[in-house]
Amino acid sequence: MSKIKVNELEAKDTNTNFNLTANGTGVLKVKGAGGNDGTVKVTSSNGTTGVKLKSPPHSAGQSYTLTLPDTNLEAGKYLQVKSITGSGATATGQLGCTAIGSPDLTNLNASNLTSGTIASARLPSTFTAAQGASLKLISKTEVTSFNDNVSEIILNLDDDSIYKVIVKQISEAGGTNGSGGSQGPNLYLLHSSGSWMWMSYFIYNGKQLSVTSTGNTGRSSSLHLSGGETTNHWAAVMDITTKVDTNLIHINGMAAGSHETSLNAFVSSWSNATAGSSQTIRGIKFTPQNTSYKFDDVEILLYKLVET
Amino acid sequence: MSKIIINEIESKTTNGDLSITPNGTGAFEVTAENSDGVLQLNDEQNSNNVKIKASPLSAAQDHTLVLPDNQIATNTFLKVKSVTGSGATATGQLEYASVAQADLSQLNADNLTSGTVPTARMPSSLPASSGFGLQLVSTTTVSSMVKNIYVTGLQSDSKYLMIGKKMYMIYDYNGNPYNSFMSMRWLNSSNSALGPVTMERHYENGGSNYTYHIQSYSHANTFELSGGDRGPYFSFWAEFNTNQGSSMYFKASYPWYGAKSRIQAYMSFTNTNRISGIQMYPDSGSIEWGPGTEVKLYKYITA
Repeated sequence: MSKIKVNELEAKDTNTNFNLTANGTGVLKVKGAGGNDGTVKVTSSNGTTGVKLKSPPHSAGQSYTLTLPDTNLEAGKYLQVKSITGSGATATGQLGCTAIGSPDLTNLNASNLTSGTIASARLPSTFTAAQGASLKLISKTEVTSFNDNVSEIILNLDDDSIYKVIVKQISEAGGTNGSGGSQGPNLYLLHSSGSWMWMSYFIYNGKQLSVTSTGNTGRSSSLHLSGGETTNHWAAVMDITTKVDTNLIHINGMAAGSHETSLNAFVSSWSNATAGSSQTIRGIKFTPQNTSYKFDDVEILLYKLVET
Repeated sequence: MSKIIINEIESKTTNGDLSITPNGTGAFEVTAENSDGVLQLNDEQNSNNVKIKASPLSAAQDHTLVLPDNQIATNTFLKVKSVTGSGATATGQLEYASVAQADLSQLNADNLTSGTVPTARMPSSLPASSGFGLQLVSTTTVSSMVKNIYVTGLQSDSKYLMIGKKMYMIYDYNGNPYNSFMSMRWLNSSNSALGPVTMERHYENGGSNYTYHIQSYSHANTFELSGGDRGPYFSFWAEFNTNQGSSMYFKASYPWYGAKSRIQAYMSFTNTNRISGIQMYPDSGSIEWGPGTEVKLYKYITA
């Protein structure tokens, strides 16, 4: 074996390669020595910086061959061991330029949502009635004190629609200190402009185990929702359809107090026996029966029945 | 410093390696005059070659890459496993490593931070316990005059809310309204009328004196839902169950003509029959439901 000892080999001619030629299956071997692993240093143009490619340490026991990529280079790809022939010391890995696939986020399985909670903002603002979301809360009206100085409560309604109103409680008070008992509210039907419309009604009360009834032979601007007794709180469930000619407000009310009375009322917009002469109900309004009174303790929930 | 200027060095022996042996911590250094050093590996015929080139001067990199210290494996990638030192002394140990795929089987719903889940992606029915307690089952809309409206396919042991939102009773094809009232039949799964049915009817007396009445009836299988007077247009609400001995609460108002007619009725089978369907028709023989008549059926969801 021939050997020369020298510090530097330099290409003889300007801009020419410097060739190191192994013979046959021989390789260019950069040997380690003195406990140091073989290292190839490739320096930058003026030789001041350089990156080194170094053998794995002896302890790793690695002797494979790494074949540089056999395909065109592509930006953004990664060096991947595409295939391997042989094993152990004879293993030869063929490198390739490979894209690392991004996870497919276009076909997610909802069953894999195994933790956390979907934020409300991520859900549709409206679910379909066919999904079971047929009862939609439209509004909640509250009055907590006589001092709120509230003397009317208006619930706006859409044409050709179905509503359910839950009056959890209505109480009223009068005088400067909020004294005085509730009288039960007055009910008005409203046009879309907010002005009242004529109504017709039939109401019957169960008052201390006797039934009384009242109807209007003509038309009225309002209906006093009273069982006939002064009450502390009045509560009711109201079912409403608003369409012209077929509208209906049915009220099941209950006045709680020293003289409990029930109320059962049918209210419709008034008509003169001509198709289309009635009005579509676009709102209802509650006022204290005594105009000098104010609402004192009120909670009214307006739900709409979703129809699609 | 010794230096040889030459263009090529060739291994002397057949199939012999050409060894370069730096001294101690020295490296085999590939440099070039005024350009970045390049180590070129040629194919067997020296017609193709791949080069490994130094980082440019501007990058100011002096690190050392240590070839992987683990077994080479197919489909793995070259990864910098660890780095010791920094700057010019940085040494990166490479390894063959797999790239972990994102686990899409354990998603955190909190990470849905934009967009809206389309309604179509939601279940066809949602649980009542989550607030979806009233489900729209069907809407029956009359487009041209028809004598009967049928609501069929009712599930047993269920609770329904049926709303006659707009009920128009018409006597001719010019759309003229006619004063009548609705009759109802409860049907079995073959659409045959069932009975007998008892009814307690609360109503007012047709606008003449606004008197409250309670009457009870027993019907073979057809019952009139009259408020004591007739009217051409009305709406109704009916809540009923379909378990054995089915029962119904019905209320309606005939608001036309000054709203003279209202009814509440409580009905039930006197036996163990159940409601599988409902038939509704204007009581007067030639009167039919007019266009625009609309009946909605909702079901109370119990789970």
